[in-house]
Amino acid sequence: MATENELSVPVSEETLSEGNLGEVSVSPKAETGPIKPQKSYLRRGENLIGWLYISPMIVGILVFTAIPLVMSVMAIFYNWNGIVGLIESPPAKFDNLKSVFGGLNSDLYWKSILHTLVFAIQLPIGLVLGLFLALGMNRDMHGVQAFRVIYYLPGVMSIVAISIVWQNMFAGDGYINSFLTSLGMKPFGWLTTKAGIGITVNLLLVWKGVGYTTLMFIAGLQSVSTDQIEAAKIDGASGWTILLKITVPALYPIIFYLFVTGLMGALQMFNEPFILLGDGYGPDNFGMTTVGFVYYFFGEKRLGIASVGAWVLAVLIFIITAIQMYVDKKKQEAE
Amino acid sequence: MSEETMTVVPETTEEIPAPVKREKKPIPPHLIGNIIITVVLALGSVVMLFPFLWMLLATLKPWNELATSHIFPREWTLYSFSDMWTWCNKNMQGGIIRGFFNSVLTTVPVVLVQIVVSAFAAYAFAKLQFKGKNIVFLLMLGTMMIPFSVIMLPQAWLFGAMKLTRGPLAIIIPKFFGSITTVFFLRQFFYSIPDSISEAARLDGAGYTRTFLSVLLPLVMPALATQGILSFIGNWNDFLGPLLFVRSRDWYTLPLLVNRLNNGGGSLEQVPRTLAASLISLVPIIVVFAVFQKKIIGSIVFSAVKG
Repeated sequence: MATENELSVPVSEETLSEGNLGEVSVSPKAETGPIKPQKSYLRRGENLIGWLYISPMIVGILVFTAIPLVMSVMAIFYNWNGIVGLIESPPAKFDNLKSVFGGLNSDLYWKSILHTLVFAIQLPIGLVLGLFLALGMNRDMHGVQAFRVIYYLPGVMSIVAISIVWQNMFAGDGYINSFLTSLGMKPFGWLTTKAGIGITVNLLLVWKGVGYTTLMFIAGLQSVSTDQIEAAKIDGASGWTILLKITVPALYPIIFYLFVTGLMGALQMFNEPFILLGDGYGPDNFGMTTVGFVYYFFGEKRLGIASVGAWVLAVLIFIITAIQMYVDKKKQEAE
Repeated sequence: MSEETMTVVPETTEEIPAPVKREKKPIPPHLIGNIIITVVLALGSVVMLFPFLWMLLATLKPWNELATSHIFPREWTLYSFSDMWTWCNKNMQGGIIRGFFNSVLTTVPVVLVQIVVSAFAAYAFAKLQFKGKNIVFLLMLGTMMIPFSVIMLPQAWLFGAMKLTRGPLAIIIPKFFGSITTVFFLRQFFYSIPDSISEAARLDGAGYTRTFLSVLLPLVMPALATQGILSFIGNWNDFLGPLLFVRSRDWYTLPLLVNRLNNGGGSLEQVPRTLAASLISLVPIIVVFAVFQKKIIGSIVFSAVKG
């Protein structure tokens, strides 16, 4: 600490104004701590310019995020229909909270969370499949580039168009069932039974997302030490042992990142089941995710209940983010 | 004749040892592995591409062939496209062309403004020193974890109160204020530019904005383009935002129009025209992806290395 002070003290304002800009980086504090604004003529007006450059972002966040955020908290305590102003609406006290936790809409809400988790089964499946695809594509052979593009292709496509294609392929009299019948099998209710919806939505999500996971793993595999693998091979380790003891541990950061971001995405699932079931929620509302619950009560003009539903989701996401930040911090400390 | 046979003979005698050598040499194990993996990946590729193929061929067959197990049409027809054309004209002013126009209007200019605004902010966060910078940046990162479902309903009311939901403005104006993910991404690029470059420009008498626009911005142009492409794809495919914020059918973007076609009665007859419109909504994405696939895939690799 003392050395830091000794270094920064001699840098007086006069030496700086003489254009001695290099002095700034001498102080170790410049790297980490807040930097005092320089009086150098080159940096004159920087305060103003800095704020000017970020001002559109600040206005945007205030108007389109901060105000709606406050309103969504307030909406929990009002019977708001989303047409008149929030404050003009009749107060609801704790009615909306009671309705979702233990009241009339409680059953539907917890089911919507359960459905969301059912549609998250694809997450570990996609990770394992993506890892194997990445191992296959991380080889020096012809056609690997083409494979990478093909597997990623569904990931960039419009979810509406894709879901409609799947909806028609998996319809009761659609291609898949016709194909099964031609093989002598019984047609299956892909979009009319609970099990069918669970399978179809998860299949669609794996199909759409596995290319991204694969590309991330391929990038991660570049950092796996080949020396270590060679040494293990000489020691007679099998392919499985190398995969589980060397490759997978080296990929932990990427697996963790993909899992956390994937979980946050999965918790906010809405489009795929909603469009697959034709702008609806299917039998016994099995296609209703938590965001689907929010959208449903928006349609019912009961924004208070919708807000309670959305906030439970938000709290879950905050907790996951906090865990992620904690793990990242631990990782940085270890390095 | 004799001359010809004379020339052939020495060639064959030379070739004889070659196959013998090949027989002695076993096929290297990695080659067998490569063949097996290529076959498996090729089979997987069929699965990945099959829905697109099915979609394309379904638009080329009459509706009564849809509920069959054969993939290729028995009777080739473009009826799906003409049916889609007339349906769109009947149900929306300007038809599918208008839907396409709406999608372009709410993506291309929006993305351009969004990227430039974000670049200014990213530059400020990376290279300028101003009071409160770190706190503001942390707050901005904090807003990234707020789920859209929390703020979307008040937003819908707010846009309605501002009279924006009758047109396309509710999905245009908010994006003029930049994107936090883009700021976060571009900031990394501005960090990698040495301070000496901007200082040289400043010493030559250029102001902040001029230094930024004519010296620093060209240096991050590739990153800017990548972000623009990703943002374009995201905005073009967006469904929930337009679903909530565009209340006038004449301003439906392609995903909304396609979704509406899909819910037009529930009969098999509507399927070909719905798939035809879906296909049209995919064409710009396919073109962009084909042209920029290296950039798009590169950006994923970048985020993997960073994360």
